Amino acid sequence: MVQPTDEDLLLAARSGDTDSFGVLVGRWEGPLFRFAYRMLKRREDARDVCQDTFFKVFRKADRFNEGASFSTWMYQIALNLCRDRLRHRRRWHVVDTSPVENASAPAAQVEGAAAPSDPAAALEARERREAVARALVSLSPEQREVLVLKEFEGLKFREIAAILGCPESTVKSRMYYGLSSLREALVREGIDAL
Amino acid sequence: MACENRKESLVALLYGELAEGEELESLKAHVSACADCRREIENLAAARRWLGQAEPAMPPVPRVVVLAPRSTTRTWMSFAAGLVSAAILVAAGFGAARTLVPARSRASIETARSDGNGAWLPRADFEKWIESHRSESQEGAGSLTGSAPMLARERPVSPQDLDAALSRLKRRLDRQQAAEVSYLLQEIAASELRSDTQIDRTQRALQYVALASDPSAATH
Repeated sequence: MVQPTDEDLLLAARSGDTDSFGVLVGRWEGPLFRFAYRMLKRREDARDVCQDTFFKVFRKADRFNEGASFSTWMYQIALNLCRDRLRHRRRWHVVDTSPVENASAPAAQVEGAAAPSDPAAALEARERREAVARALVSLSPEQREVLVLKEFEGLKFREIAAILGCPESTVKSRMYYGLSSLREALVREGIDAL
Repeated sequence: MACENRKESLVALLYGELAEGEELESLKAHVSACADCRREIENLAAARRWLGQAEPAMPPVPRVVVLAPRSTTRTWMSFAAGLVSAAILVAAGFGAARTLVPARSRASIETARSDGNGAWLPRADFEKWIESHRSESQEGAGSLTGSAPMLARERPVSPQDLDAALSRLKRRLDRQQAAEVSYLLQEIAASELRSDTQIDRTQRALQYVALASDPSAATH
């Protein structure tokens, strides 16, 4: 059976079919939360952005242009909400003291991951995560957004450009300088990035 | 550092987003020949590997549950009715008992007219009359009788009646407010549900949009 597309589901929801909207929520709650968490590094903030995004998607469903991409539109809404939160917070939260949300949390706390059997490897992995987390802090917000959308969300450059509302060449440029800056920061940390 | 005009192309090559064709072949040939670009793409790939290996621990994804819309029409009508009732009773509470008097009679209160039957009274006298009978009511004088003006034909509003009515209204408004707060809390708590079993059992029933305050939301 052919699954309905996101766009079909949204159009059905716009006509009053709330079951279709429920299907959309079920499809995107995971990816959306993970995206918001990577941007905000706080579970509560990510959850709020996730919920607010779906709220706005439903309220503005009548403004969705038929023929447009639902995921692009949804990410635009989520990204703007994340930016608002970060602006309000005025800083990039990378290392959280909460044991659940700590970027260095043991692998056992990672969703679906098994506990490492080698303590030394686990320590090295933790140090690597912390180093990368610190390096990400040094990036500009624009570079960070592109890195998250590309590396963790797996979006195409064309899609990222649509979400950010900028040319594809700009996205690639930010990606280039973002990765370069990341590497330089890791080298400064004494980590051999090669 | 890569050649200035190749940076974006190197990134596209790194992520496999250069379509097969002349541009791809040209870039591959350049990278093979240019040590700087070759080193740069290796650096970019290494940074990418570090990034991929060091993704922060992800907390469990909270389930987003959307709830059935409430009937906004019923909610607002009952609330509006409550406001109107409150306005009437509050006005009555200030001694303006004339709000319970038909409009025709209310207008007549403003004019001073009296006849042998005492049907109409000047406003100031009317209010004095109200106060005097309010006192009688508090003393257990019973219902109004005798040469009372038009109010004799209306059920008088005693202070006890007024207090009881205001209490009932307040309880109703409190219940409504509590229900609204409860609903909001429920909406917030819904996103924290973690039990897969529970969600599976109720998800279908709960897969409606919670937009009770949205006038454009469809009612069910």
